[in-house]
Amino acid sequence: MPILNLAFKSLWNRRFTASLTLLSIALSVALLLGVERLRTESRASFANTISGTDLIVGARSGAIQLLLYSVFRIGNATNNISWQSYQSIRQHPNVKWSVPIALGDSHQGFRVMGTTPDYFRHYRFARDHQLRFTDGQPFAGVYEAVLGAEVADQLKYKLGQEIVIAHGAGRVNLFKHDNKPFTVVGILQRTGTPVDRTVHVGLAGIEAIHIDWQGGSPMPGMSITAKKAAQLDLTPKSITAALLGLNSRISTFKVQHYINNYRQEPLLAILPGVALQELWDMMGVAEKALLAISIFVVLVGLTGMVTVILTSLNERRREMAILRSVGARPGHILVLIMGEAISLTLFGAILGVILLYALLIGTQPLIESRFGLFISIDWPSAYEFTLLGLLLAAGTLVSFIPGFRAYRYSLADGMTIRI
Amino acid sequence: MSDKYRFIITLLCASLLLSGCEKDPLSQKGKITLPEKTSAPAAKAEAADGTAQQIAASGSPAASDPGVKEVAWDDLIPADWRPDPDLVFKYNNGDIDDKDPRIIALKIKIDKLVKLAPVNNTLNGKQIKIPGFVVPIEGDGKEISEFLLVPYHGACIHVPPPPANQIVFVRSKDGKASARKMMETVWITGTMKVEKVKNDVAEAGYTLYADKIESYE
Repeated sequence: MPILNLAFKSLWNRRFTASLTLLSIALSVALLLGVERLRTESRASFANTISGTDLIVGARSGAIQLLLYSVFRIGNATNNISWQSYQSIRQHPNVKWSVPIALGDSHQGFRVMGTTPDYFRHYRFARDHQLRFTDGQPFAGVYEAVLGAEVADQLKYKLGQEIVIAHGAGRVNLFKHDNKPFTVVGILQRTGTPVDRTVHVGLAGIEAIHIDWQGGSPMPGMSITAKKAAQLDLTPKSITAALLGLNSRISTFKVQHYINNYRQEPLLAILPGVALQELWDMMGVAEKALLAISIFVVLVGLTGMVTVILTSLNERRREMAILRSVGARPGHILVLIMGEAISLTLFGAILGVILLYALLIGTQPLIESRFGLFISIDWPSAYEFTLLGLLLAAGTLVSFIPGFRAYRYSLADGMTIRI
Repeated sequence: MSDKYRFIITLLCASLLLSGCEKDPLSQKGKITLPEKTSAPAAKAEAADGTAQQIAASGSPAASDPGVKEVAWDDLIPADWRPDPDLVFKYNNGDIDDKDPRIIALKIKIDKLVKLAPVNNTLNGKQIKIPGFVVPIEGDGKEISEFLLVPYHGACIHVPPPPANQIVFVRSKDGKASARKMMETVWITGTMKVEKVKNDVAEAGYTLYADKIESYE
């Protein structure tokens, strides 16, 4: 196709404006695909975090909130649930296993979770994957800790290392339980879930570090040594949440109803799958708004391209006339202009995809460490190809505007131009 | 330019539709006949007759897919089983609040009855097709591979849960057939398995191994 070759060369001749147009299209494409990618990947990341748990129990609040703080370590618990309530729930005949969770402390900005060794047996992620250890074993003693992969990586911790847990969930903490250090006894394999960013200790450990605390702060003159504390009764008084597995999934609603109507204490039981769906529904509005915005940005990019070509048409009327003089028909002029627009769109799209992948590779570790979201870098999905196809179609469609204009000019002007 | 606008408008409309209010086609069409509040024995008997006819009809060689039986939620309750209609009426009426001690007493009574509520063993191993609403259990953010199928919308939160014989645990075979959305209304075709009661702990229940999951509409 000599005409397309000519279109290409013509673009090359105006490479500065052309490359700017190309960049604006590429950026808009990267934005469009990036929004879509972030949406699907964050969904997958969230959905992969919990599996095999039938119910999550916590203090009465909202389903989404309970899910977020118990599983994703986002936000804070509204209240704790008493140990007695937990005991009577776990003894419900339909409950097969239960894992208590106590939150509220941290280590260097990573959340500390008090639990039982059962957690490592029953917790599942990404469709029935069990937690595995790269090193060591589950905690057994009071002052033992198991680290998530990200914690161990970032802080360069090894087995046998002593760590100090701080009160509160922030990155900087003023109250440290430094008289009761924990020893690292296990490091978990990477899961791509918030487990990677968690320090796991026994419930007794959480109880022990707070044993000499009265009314929310350490009491002077009442400090109890680590050794002494370990000999005291370390049964927790309360936990933050509990994960439940049931004997039969048919009884899910029944146990949920039992817990929600538990009369000693206001409790809430949620189905993780349902709460996740509610979260999607809530985020769906924002996602659609983002998608709409990025579509408009693409349209702005295409409009910019049309504007650039249209403004250049006036300058190029002589060029058209010369083309006509060497035998080009008006149709050829149309194809030439459309070819320019379409190739701008096409290369813009390709550049946009390259830009997106560069951005993904660059920001993936940052997103994981900041937000706990694992963005896997895969080939574009069918939906993304559809979006790109739509973009090319829109590019072709709008290229008719300058195309027809040039076609009309070349018909009206012929060889002589009166400007 | 108008083509471009049409494109945008279509897109926005589509997204609105997606996020729009969820309909309740099953109850609109009156397909599901839950035990009526005024369920006189006569009405119940009629329903049972209807069920029998339906089975007879779908068992006939004229049926489109002879291996698959279309099942209504009533068929999951054995045809000869009746709860105390008076008790059920009081409980379902809605006059007594959910937190009221009287309703709790009633609930305990009905719970005992419901525990007796047996499953329909004749469905065991049958290829069936049943409509219902999806309550997700396992999924990957795009598709739901395991879920509970319930006969009415919102069965998970607002009202006392449906009895064990009105819940079907659906597993899609090798994850191929799957639902997409919570409370989506679907037709499920698959093999029904009835779990028998072995002890006091486990409840009898239905598990449906789905071959095909289609949208209801």
